[in-house]
Amino acid sequence: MASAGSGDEKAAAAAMITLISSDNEKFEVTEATATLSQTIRHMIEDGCTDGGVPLPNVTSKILARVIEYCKKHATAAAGEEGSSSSFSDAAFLEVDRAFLEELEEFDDAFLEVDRATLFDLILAANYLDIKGLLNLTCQKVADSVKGKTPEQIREMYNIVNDLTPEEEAEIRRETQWAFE
Amino acid sequence: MSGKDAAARYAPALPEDIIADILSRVPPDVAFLFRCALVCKRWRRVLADPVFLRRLLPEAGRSSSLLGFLVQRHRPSVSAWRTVANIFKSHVPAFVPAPGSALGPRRRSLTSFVRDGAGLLDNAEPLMARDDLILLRVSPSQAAAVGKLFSLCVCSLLTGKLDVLPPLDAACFDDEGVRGYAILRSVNQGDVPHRPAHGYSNLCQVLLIGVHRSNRQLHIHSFSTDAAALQSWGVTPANCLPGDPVLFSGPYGRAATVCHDTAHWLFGEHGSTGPTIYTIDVSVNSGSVCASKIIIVRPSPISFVDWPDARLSLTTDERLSILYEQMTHLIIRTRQDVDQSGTAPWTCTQGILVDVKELWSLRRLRLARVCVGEKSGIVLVLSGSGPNHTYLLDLQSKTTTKVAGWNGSFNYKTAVPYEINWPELFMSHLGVQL
Repeated sequence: MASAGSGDEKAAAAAMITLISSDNEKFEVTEATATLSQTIRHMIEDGCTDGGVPLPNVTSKILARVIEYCKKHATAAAGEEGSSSSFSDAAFLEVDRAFLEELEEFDDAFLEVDRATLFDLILAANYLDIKGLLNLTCQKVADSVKGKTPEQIREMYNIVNDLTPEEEAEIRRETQWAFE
Repeated sequence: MSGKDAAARYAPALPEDIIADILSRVPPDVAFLFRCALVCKRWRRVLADPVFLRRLLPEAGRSSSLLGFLVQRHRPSVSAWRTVANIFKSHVPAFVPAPGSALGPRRRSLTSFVRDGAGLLDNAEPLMARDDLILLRVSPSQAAAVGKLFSLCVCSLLTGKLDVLPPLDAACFDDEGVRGYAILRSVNQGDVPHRPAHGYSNLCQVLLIGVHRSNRQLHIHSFSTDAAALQSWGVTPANCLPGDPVLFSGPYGRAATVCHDTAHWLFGEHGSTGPTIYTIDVSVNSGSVCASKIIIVRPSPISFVDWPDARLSLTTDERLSILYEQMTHLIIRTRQDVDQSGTAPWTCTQGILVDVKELWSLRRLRLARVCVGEKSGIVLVLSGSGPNHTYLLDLQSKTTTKVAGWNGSFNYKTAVPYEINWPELFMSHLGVQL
């Protein structure tokens, strides 16, 4: 069973998928990397990836970053699976912890982007349905807005305040206690 | 230059489900979330969305959560008052949050939530809270009332409004005056959580119960704020007390327990064979008043129950129950359906060990005051030894939490539990009127 599984994996790893960004740049990725995206996984299952997968909502700049994330996390996932059969439990835990630490470092470094890029990554992760990336980026935004004033939040993310002065005054009046 | 340009680049607008995802990851701090509603229209829409708010609600499955307690400060002596008055301009009831309250750990003045231009809440005494409504007694000096006039006001955290009821001439009552009170959401508004098409309102019915000065019968005064024509109190003399009314005492717990359209108070009759306990049941719909004897099946012969410390409450499935202390336990007896013999026995449904060693050392759990948050199933236990022995008892999880929010300036004996379905709080303030 184990050898059959890893054989399948090798076959899957060998298959390459072409992703095409909105600005028409082509990216060759392994299927293992691409299928971190549920959206692409479904397309592969439906057999409609011949000639490349056009992603009209994702620019080449953002797609390059998303692929970087997926490659790292796909490797990590494959590494964990491979290790489970060949290490004792203690050694496995050791390797597991090392993987997790490395992955965490990677994630931290990965999030060192400007805020507009962070929002672009959220949109791409949402569109491509990459759960890990969506969690990571949304948590980053949540951590950054925690305890900030509405003005600071708008400034940080260049959010346009479309509330009228009357609406704003109304909210402030109704929720006065929250501003004390 | 280029770095600054990149930072200033317009960030794409996120879909509302992503905004909800992000905001649900922020540690639950309702004040912060309220402030977030000011970011832009999208954010405000997310924060007024019931589905999003229910997801945030930590006490999933409960209709309401206990936000905290309304308390009045101790009344200082006249000389102390002069000093205090220079520091605190007003003497408004405070809101002491329960541990883990959705409103955060801060104590706030009631006027933070309710607009009070006329200063009516100054020195007001919180009497009872039900649903989002709070019934308070306006201080006699504020009401400019003389003699036996009894002045009440009603406010709500959902509407932020304060309404004054016409003063009641309480001269008909005996020297104890108004003994008990009830506030009920007006029946035609249906059950809460409600979201009336015309917005939130303070519409309610208020009942006051006392004993008539001359005939010693119960007297019930009622007032409905939605009957525009009726701007005075209605009186129901209730000739319902069995036996000699002189032997009656109560109610034990002044705030009524309200089940559907009926207010219940606990009264005791001290006959020669020991006390008999009754509920006095007043229906606002039919106007009927009756006394129902509490039949306790298989009472333990050694048990001594200090009935004046017992309290009525509702179980989460809306059955009337009675809570009292016995040694280190809080006993809950629940009224059962009427059986074949035509009686409704009150059977013991729960006995909860109040797991506080500090209280055991007092040999007996002195519940100087118990107030019950009916919807959240949380009981405030105040031992007789002072505000440092204040605990919350969760009837579902049977856990005890010490309340640390009290300090010397609050009269903890005036505590009134305030429960609210707090997503309603968001929707009422951020949702409908804009």
